[in-house]
Amino acid sequence: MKEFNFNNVFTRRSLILAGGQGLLLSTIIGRLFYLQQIKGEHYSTLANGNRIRLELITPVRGRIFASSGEMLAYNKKSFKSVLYIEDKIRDLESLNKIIQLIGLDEDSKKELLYSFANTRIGESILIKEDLSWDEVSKIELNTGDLSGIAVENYYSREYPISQHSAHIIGYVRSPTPKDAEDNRLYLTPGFKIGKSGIEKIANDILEGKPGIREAETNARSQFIRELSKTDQIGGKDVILSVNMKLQQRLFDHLSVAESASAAVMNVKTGNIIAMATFPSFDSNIFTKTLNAKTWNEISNDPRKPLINKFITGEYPPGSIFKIVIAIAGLEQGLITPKDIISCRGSIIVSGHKYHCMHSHGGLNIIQAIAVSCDVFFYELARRVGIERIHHYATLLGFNKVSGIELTNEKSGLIPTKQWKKKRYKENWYIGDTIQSGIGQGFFLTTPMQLLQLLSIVARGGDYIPPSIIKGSKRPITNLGISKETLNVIRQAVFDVVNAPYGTGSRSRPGVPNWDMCGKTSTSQISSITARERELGLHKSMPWHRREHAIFAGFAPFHDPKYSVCVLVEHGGGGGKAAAPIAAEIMKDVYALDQSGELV
Amino acid sequence: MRNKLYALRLIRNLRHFDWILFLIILSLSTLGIIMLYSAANGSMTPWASKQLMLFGVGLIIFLLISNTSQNTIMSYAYAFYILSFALLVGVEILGSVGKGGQRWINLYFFKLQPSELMKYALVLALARYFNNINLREFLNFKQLAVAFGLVLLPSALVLKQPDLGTALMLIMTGSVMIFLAGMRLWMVIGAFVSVAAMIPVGWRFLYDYQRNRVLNFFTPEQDPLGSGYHIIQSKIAIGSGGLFGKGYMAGTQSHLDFLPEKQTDFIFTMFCEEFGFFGAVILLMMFVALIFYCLRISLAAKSVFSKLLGSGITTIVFLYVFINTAMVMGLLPAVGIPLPFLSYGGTSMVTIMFGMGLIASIENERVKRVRRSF
Repeated sequence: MKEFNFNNVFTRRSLILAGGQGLLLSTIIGRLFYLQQIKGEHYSTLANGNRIRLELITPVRGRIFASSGEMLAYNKKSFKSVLYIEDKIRDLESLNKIIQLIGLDEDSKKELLYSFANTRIGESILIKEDLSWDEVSKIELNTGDLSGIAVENYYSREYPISQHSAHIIGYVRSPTPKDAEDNRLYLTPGFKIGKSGIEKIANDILEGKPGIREAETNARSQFIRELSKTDQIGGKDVILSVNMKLQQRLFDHLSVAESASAAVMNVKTGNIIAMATFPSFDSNIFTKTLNAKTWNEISNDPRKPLINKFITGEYPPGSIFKIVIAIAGLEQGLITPKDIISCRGSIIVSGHKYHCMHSHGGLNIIQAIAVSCDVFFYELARRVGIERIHHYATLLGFNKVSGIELTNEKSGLIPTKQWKKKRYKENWYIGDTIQSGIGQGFFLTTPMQLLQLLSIVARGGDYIPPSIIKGSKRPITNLGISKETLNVIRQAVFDVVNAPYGTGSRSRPGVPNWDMCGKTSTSQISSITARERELGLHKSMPWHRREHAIFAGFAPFHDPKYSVCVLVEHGGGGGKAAAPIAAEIMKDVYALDQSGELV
Repeated sequence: MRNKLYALRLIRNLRHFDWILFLIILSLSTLGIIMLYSAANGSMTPWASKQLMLFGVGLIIFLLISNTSQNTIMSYAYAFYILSFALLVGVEILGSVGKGGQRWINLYFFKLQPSELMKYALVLALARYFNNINLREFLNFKQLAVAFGLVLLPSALVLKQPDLGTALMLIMTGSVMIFLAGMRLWMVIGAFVSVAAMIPVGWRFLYDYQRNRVLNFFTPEQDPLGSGYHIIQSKIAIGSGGLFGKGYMAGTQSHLDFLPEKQTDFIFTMFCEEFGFFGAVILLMMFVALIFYCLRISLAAKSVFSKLLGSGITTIVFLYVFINTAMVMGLLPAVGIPLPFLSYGGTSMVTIMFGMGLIASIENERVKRVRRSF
């Protein structure tokens, strides 16, 4: 081994490094020479005489499919005209010319002039999208007078079968200035982003990445040739777990009502296989310039067609909530399946009288659920108390959003003593607890939460977060409810539909080995006085004051595969208005399941 | 009496003041201020006047450091390293507490970035470490481990900020110094090979989104919304300058606001557009002169500390110049490295003047020693 001498090693190695540095700096000079001499003319042409325009190539948005294969959203090649602003005086002239040429109305003219005034030189504004062939040829013919104006290809978003699925699919719209704050892509004239439904939730997946094009233009800012191009990367497709045949049937069943919403879930996977709200709207109206008349029509409809009532609607849960009270009572040992509570048509607690539909006589808990006896659950709620009701309701998925991949989901409300104190500056009264026995009072739930409740019962106590995306992986959590309790509840919800005295006994799907189980609910929106009830007035109230009808259930009894929840807004009794629709839906589900289409 | 002595010493020192180094620094900084005047379309505000003030501050630091003896500098090397490291940890904590990831400390007339200080602190600490161990033979494993530890500790922290550019600069500067201190050649080769081999292995441990982040970092052209757009504009500006440039204050691309950050990272682009190929070559030659001068000083220095300190600073200057110019011409990904002396910015100006002060101090020491030996 050679002897080590620091000074020698240091000097030798320093010189080697210096040589390396020299080489690297030579490449810098070489690169300078390449850019400034060899390509110099090219670049100065770009910089001086002609202009270079950097155009973003907008990515092609991913499509949306149903699990049954139908395309729910795709992109259609269309034409738009765009003004590239280079010279405000000259371009204003062309703007006025094109407004005349394609005959835009006063409103859009005003809007265009406003955005023209507020757009900086070097950027561009959208004049009109979705040009007809006629308009395209008019512009092309007059291209000499229209400096700065270009006709460009773009993809417009189309929803071929929107009506019955609009609440799921949602729609795309132009980004707001706030959206565009840190994304240059969103400044592209006519670019759209998801604003509702899956389009919004899955926007990042659907959107893709833009490309960039160096385009050479002449002094009139008209395109001459392409200099370089980085391609866009299209967005990924999204496949929903929804089956379109079932979706269509579901929507048809709902459309017999004034206003209704329903969904079907695959109990085993937690996937939503159909979800619809009637009345609905056409997603396509949002992608084009929305005209005032259509908008007014939709937004003034008292039935609020834009709202996905299945997850955004909040309703008093009514009698379905008795299941929660029953689970709490059984789990806490406050009642056993053998205990009998006697119903004499009403109960008096601290001076207040609470009514029941009938005088049911002595009932055990299974019978009480089947006939939906109120007195039984007034008493049981009193035993359980609001703290434990709150605990079990929260455990079973109430008071929080389910997290399904849709927009504007509401969490509902399960009150506590503290909540009431804060909200109303009032103490919690025993009467509030009594009312909660039948899901009335301050309680608010979404149909989604009621569907989840019945799905948990159907699964034997397992909680799965719902999803509407095919194949999404979600954890299964066992909620720790005892088998005995669940068996009682399952027997009770079986009897609701299948016992002759059950409140849903008129709504059997009528298919062998496909017994539907469930619970009806009549959810009051305004308190009905005892006097009104005696006179039978509550049956002839105006539509918007009538009770909501709800049914949530599952089938088949022995090996539950599908759960369903139907809400009929102001439909009256749950057994009369909602349960029959559920039975029809379950019949369709059976047919599709048998033909293997619901895999 | 004491004051008089100090004054005398100062005058004596000024006589062998390093005029060559000073002239190079002065002309580069002057060019910077001239360019900043142009960047503001012919105005001293907002950049040129402030840069002039910062140059003044830098000059005081330069003079102070160049009159400090190498022994004194060496005695503070570790303390400086620890202080810089603490500041780095400090901004990391502040940055994660306050939203927005702030990576600087406000010193009122400029914002201090501890990661810039760290470069010089690392050079000082390594130079002192190698000076302390007796360099009679090639570095052994233990010494290598300590040295690489000194390099990698702050690099990891800077990488986390995330500032890949500065982290790589720290690693490269540190590696050059370890190489120069005497790492066996086969180990150098072995290290290269194993780092190269580690990349695909490490790659497999990354999550998808982490991989994408790394890929985006190395291919900004794939990201036309961000730095890719800037690089295309920068290339047009440079290329359109041609051989002789468009003339001072006449760069169309820079002045039409096509060029982002023209006062900081892209000041070289503006220079090339206005002064052309020949102007740019002259500017680069001035940097080559500076680097060559620093190299000469470190080769001539006597102590291990001075030699390694000199070469460390030389490496820093070279990396700044090379990465910045390569970046604006699209040869390297845009990593946000300024051009020393020219780019607008407090930390960059003050720290480079600090580094130059260290170089001048090395030369002072040698000249004094030569004089004493006569």
